[in-house]
Amino acid sequence: MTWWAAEAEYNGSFEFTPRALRARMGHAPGTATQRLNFEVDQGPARIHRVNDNGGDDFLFQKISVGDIWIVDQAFQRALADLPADRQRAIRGPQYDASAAPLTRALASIASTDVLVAGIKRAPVGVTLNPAMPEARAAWYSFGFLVRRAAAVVLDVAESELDVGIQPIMDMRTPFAPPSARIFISDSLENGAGYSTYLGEPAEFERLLRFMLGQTGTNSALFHDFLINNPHEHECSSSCHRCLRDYGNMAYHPLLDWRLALDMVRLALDPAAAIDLTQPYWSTLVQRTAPAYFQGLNYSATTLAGLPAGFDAGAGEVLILIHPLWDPDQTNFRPEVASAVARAEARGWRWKLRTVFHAVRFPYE
Amino acid sequence: MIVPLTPAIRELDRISPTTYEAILKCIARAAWLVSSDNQLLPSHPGALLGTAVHFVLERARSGDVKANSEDQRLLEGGSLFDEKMEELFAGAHPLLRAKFENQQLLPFYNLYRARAAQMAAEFVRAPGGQASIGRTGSDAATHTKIEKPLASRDGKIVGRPDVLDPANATVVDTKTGRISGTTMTDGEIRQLRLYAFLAAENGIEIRRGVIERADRTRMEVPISISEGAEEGRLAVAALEKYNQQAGKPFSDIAAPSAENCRFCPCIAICDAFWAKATQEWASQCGTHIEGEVESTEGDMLVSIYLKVARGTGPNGSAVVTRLSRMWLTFDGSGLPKPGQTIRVTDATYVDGTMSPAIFRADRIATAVWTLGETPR
Repeated sequence: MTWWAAEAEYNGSFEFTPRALRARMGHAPGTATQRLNFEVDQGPARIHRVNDNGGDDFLFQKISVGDIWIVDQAFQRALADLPADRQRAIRGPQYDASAAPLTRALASIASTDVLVAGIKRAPVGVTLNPAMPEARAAWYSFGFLVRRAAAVVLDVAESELDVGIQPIMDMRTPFAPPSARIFISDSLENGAGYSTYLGEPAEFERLLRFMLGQTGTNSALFHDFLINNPHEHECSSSCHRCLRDYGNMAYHPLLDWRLALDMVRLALDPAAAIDLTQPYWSTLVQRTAPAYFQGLNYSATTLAGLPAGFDAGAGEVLILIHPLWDPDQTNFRPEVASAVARAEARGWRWKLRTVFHAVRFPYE
Repeated sequence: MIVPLTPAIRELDRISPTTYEAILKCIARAAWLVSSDNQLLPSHPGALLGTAVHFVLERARSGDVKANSEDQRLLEGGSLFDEKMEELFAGAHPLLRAKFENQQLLPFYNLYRARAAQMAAEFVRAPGGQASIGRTGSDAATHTKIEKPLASRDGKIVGRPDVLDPANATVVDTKTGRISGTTMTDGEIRQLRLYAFLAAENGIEIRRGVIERADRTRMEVPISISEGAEEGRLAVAALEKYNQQAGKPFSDIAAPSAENCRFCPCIAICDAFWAKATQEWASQCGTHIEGEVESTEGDMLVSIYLKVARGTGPNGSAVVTRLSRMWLTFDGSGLPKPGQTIRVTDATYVDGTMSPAIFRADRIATAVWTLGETPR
């Protein structure tokens, strides 16, 4: 239900996704197979969509006639949306005082075929921790690009596949930050077999290579369209030509085709260069950085090869970094560490901003 | 992992600024520091990284970072750091190697590396065989190349300052740790004064001491000749005090206290600490507990239930959680068994309102030691 009467202020949480819309998977269907730098698993699993009323659950009350249970709060909200004359005409529900209210969450639970895929290793200084908006964006973008490629390869509608991500902990290293994996499920109850087919390690590798333009003409068309003009020039995050569709509207602010391609390359190669030298990143940085720094009254410069903006008055430098580079000093990339060391040597204070952030919040 | 034996206390011929500081805190701590067995306890990753930084700076001062362009010198400095860290990590305690697959995964590796390379690249070889140091050239100053440690005339004090700058009568010491701030500690001032004394003993007059932290914050303090001389006298007195304790048992010469045991690497082996430590010490010297194992549970992540009897945590039933099985079994030993007494050093105290009290392992510093009693 959409409550248009709400007057809540925007709180800056651009990546908010209603929990009730998110597909979740309890546990992976079997034992993952490792190949290259990905691990993949497939089989039947249960997909849940849970609406717990923002964590508060729903209070159901039984009405006095029949076995019907109503959430009074929801009823009152719906009533408030009606014109005053219609509100007056509606008689509120009469509750059965003898029946104890029930506190419940709502769930849609479907058994279907699922493909689960994760990335085994990230290079030092790269974080895939889904608690960070950039990394979460990378996982969702990866998932939706896999879905789009799967739809092309299998010649099915994208709506026949659902996408979600599942945060995971690596129990071998208790203090490693969490990572995640994507899951693609058949939207058809009991599954149509798509996810099971694509979840075979060799098939999944073929799908990853398809996205990089390595498996023939259609593959090249798929990949080249993304990285070449006009798309590359016009799309700084995601658009309806690459990752967005009506069904993933809740994720639009997060989706980013460049991050999706980075994840595909990383899944195939643990030594893949996840940096701003990739042509699709460097052109974006060339277009974005000068205007970004100008908008913030910084003068554009470079620091250890990274784009940076310098505020001479404040003695402060703003360093632009790749979205998947860890801002945590314990896990700096060599490039970030070098830029920071140079800033320190000059006696400057330094701040890090991801290109992801600069594109979405040009004045922040 | 069994608690190693304590080192024998042997007389010292001479004292360094680091040993001097340790003696002022605790003679046992100093004995551990000068003992050749100090690899029996795991080093803090920051200590390894700091050693590598100083190695790079030393090589830079020796003229080994000599490319014409700054970018090339940065590469040279980075390579030296990598080489040294590879060597240090290969010789590091096995627990550290069980926790971190390779040296590049140590926390702050790249930041220390970049800072070392940056500082090394700023040493520019000048005509006449001398080198200079400067912050982007703005306050460059010639300095003396120090091939060997400086020694006092009587040979009882030795030390090698990071930079000795006779032209400006300045001694500079670089600190690689994570301590920040613009205030010098008493220990840092003592160290600078001792370097000034050593310089004076070698005919170099020093009037100013500078501490440069890892983030390049610089602080300076004036040093008079008499202050340097007095520090030299106190260092010799500390050496004599140490030597008077030679031959005594480790525990007898330890001086445990909340302040003295702060950052002390010997806690696992120091019976005096365990005999005296109280819960009030935890805020200064961390959480360390000793107790009898009741049970263990878990697969890849292990929890140890124990009855805590000593240390800086609350006594009674406790559980230490989030221990990687690999950390407990890397040396071929199994998990601690019921009835065994263990020491858990550098844990994190999470919750004492419940029974058992909950402690959590810390990835960098926590170690579990067995005292070797017969299991039940």
